[in-house]
Amino acid sequence: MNEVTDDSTTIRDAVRLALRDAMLADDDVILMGEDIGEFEGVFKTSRGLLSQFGEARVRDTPISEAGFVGMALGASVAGLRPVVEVMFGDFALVSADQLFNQIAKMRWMMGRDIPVPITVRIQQGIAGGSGPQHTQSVESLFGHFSDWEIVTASSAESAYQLLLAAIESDNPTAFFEARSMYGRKGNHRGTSETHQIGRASVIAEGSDVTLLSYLTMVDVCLDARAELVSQDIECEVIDLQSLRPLDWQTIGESVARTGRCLVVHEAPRFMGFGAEIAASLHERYSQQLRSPVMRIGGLGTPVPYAESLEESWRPRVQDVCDAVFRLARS
Amino acid sequence: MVAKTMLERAFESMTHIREFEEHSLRMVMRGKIRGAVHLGVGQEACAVGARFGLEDDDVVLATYRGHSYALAWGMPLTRAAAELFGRRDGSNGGLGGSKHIGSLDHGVAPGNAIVAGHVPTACGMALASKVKEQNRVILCVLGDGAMNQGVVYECLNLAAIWSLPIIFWCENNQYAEMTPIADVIASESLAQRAEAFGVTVMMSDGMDVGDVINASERSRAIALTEGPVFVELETYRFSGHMSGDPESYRNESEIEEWRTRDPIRQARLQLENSGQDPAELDAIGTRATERVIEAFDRAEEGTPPSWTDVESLVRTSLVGEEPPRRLGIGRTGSE
Repeated sequence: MNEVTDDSTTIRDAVRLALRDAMLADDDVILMGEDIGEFEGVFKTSRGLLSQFGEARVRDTPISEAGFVGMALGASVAGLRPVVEVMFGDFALVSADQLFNQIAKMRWMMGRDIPVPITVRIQQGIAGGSGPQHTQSVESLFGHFSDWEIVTASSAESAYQLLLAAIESDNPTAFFEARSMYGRKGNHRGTSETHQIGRASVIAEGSDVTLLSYLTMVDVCLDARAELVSQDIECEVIDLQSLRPLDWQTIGESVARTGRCLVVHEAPRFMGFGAEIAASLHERYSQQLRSPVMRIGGLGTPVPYAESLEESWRPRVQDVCDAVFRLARS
Repeated sequence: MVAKTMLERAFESMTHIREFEEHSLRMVMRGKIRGAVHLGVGQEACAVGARFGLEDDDVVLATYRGHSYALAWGMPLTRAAAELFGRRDGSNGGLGGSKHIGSLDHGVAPGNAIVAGHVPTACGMALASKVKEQNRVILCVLGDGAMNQGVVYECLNLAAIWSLPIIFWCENNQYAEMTPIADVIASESLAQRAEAFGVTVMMSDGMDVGDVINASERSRAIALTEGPVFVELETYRFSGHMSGDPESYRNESEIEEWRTRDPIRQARLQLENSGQDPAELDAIGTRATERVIEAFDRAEEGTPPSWTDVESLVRTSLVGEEPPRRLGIGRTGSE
């Protein structure tokens, strides 16, 4: 634990505190996004920031994702350190040209490794009936553009430290949040050392199966782990945190030891990070693996509104347990 | 009336740019430059006039038709040519090529090959200038074609609400790629669209470098003290949209009519009328030709980049491996 977050800090608080502390430490940090100033953010992640830092540094934008995301690029190569809030993952696609043809390619077009210290915070995922255009998980899209760092956090403490790290990073960094987790209190295990870009945190130890996960599915994996213990299966749960770059040292050490691995994420299974990780594990650890790496994820259709369908669209505790049984038996 | 020495310098700059454009086309035709070049022959006054009205710290973001801006902003001929050849000492390290030519050292952002894709970046740089009190103006070049990209309107609005020190420099060369502007624009002018967003607008004869310089100077003053300016420059390109363009969309008589307004020809006539020795003006032309050819010859001899040269840029597993391995497992095991 650090001095800033404790067991009563929510992820929402942690995000706000990280933004505040980044802005206190560096005058060049500015915030842009819809409703972030006067309204303090639709999820209240910027409560108090406008009154503390003023409207030059906390800017309410018009509804112009392409415009203000792209503006952050220009600001970041001209001396500012902008943090842009994209309200929903789905809306990130409105600024796709700026994210993927501009920000991701700026250094390459220039031919120079200059700092591009832009942070884009994207909130996403299922949260009780938001429908097909307010629930998209988009982190996998960023994977095809190698200049983007891709960072997530599943607890208040890691959110605080990793968002700070994202803002301090001189690389374009996409930081993913899930509104279903904003109210989540309590800290996972992990240390200042593991709460860095490029590092994963071992949340719970185990010797039989490695569960790799991030964001909303970390808690699902922990719940599954508790059930599986009663079946004599001990799972090691790792919060990947950093999807790019991945922490192959931590992942590899665990998989080499357990020999079995399941990747769990909310984003669609097809072409998700699970696919990339599974393929890479097979390439690197084929000797140590006792069974093929499995991955489970979202169904991949647009997320339906009806609860009867939405509730089984992404992995649940039972789905994780079923997958682990298959792994353990194979 | 523009000071004579400034007009002569503008004439010299435009002449160099024209030579550069025409020689790069020759190199493409001879197969020495790969891909296509998007030349601005005929539009030289827009770039040179812009630069002459601005200050040293002002930054330009141009389009894929951007050689003229890079050169007008002082990029050495050899660096620009080397980029076209894909050489390591090109302005972009050989990684961009013609469409992306630029160098922040010279105040030129890399050109953009997504029509209007750079306009938000330009606004962001203007925001930094304002917030950090850099006292610089951002020149955002865009064409009549770009005026149909939605993001331009987002940016006009953003610039207006935040009073950004930016000049939207719209080169209306009458064609959006191969399509005449009348077919794709219903408004009476491009400037009126910008005006609707609360931006100060100005018209300029893009074939008259003196007029362009005035527009540039005036816009700069407004942008720094009041807010964004949109300048619509009437211009024309004698070259095709890109090398290899069959130009079936226009006829010779239209081109010939516009040639009477050739900016270099007009500048020359003005200089002669005010007493400049024609032989001196010829000498400028000859010098430009020699310098351009020498620059291209030297640039061509340069070394192409290797993967090691761009090591720090590569964030996947190709680092340090030559030739790049496709298995995806790098030396450092990073991915």
